Amino acid sequence: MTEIFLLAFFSAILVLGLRRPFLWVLLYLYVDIVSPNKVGTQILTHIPMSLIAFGAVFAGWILFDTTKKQARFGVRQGLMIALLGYCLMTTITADFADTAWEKWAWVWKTLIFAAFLPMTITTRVRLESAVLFYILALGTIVINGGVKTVFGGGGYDTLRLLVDNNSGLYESSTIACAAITAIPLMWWLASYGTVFPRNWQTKVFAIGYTFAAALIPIGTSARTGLVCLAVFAGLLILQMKNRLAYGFLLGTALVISVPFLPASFTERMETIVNFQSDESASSRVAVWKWTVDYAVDNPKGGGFTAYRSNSFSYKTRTVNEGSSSEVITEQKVVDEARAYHSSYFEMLGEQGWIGLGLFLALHILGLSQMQKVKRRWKGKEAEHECWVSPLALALQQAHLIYLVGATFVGIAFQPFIMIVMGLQIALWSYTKRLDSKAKEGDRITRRPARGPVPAMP
Amino acid sequence: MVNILTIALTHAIMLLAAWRIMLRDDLERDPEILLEPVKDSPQKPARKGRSRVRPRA
Repeated sequence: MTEIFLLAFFSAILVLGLRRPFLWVLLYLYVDIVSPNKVGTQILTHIPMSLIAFGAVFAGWILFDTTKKQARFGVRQGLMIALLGYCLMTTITADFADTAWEKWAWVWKTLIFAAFLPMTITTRVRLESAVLFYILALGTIVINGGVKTVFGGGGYDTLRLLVDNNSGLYESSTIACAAITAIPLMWWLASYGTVFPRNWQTKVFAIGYTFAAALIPIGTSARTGLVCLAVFAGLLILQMKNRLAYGFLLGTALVISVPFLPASFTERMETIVNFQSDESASSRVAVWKWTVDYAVDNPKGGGFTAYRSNSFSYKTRTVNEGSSSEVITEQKVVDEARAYHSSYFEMLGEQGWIGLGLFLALHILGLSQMQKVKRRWKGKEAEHECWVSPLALALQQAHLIYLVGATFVGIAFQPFIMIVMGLQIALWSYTKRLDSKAKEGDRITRRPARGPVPAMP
Repeated sequence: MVNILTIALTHAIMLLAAWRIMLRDDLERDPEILLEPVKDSPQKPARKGRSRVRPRA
């Protein structure tokens, strides 16, 4: 039944796209995030939804899009294509060709779409629609996880989201990070959206969405999610006028909420501080050291999934407090083929120093562009331009949350962040276009008027 | 049950959104106020027709 419903939804958007081909872009956003193929077990697994939507997006743009003359190809899109080319090179020479090509199969689509997305977003409504579909598609997983957390289904790797698949956005730490990045964008939609009226229903939905997103780190017991939530709280306080008071209020709310949190969550969060006793945390440090050594020996990178060649041992240290003394237990753990557990080390190990450089340039430039847009459009009050600066802020906040979360999870190429970057590029080129219009207007007013010189009296 | 409800909720909103977006004329072209050349004003909103060339008398 669910599969038929999802298929009907997919087909309905495909049909509506015949009138407005841009809807196919939104359809691809949806497929990329929700992965309806994973939700299904019978019919949907046989339908190449991603391929159909991908084909429709490109065909629709080439054949029917009347706004493509306004499309720009910016520096960050160039960086994405350069990264794609570099990834192809490292995949060809990868240490583990079979798994490297498997990863390449989705990475190339993600990068191509992220570079292409801004070219389709040429109007305000298109930009808003893309943010809206991104949030709603992500909401399918986030609201589901939030509701299940409320009803008691939680724990690391045990919160069953829509599917039993622990990959992509359905992986605990990944969804915990993605859910928090969605909060600022959700509130931008509730405050400046035009597709749905900004009424109490929209506000109620935004509040519910925020709660669900904040519950994901608790439901999944993902430490990365808690770190992301803390970063978001910090960013929120930074934007407030009365930072001290709001900071105090947020801190108090956090202290009050601790007794209501599930024991599985608080126990796992304690390992952030006592990381030496935790295998998962200790192995991260060990695998990061291994990656740096590997990159020194293989500066070009070992291609996707190069971590499979790692093998190392480390010691975990547990302190048990007795009545009169502390008992310290040290245990030697041998590990191999341990994943990077960090996007930066993922890039370094797989794509080498050049790949890491391209990756960092892509992100740093994104933060800087959003900062420029935020400042340039700050204080605008007219309806047609008041939304620009807050959107830049929301995209920047989402980006910063990701960049901190990415330190602890290997999500360098995850579609959700590539879409956020695509939206950033779209906003940047859109504001550039408005700026060039403003300059054009300025030039016209300054230009001396031509025409017959009036006769002297 | 939770799966069905959450899928139904978000997909219904997405379908409604797609319908509303489809009916928007400004999906293909921004309203004139954004497209016409306007003089940059950092604080005050741009006014329509501000940049019009005034012929000399």
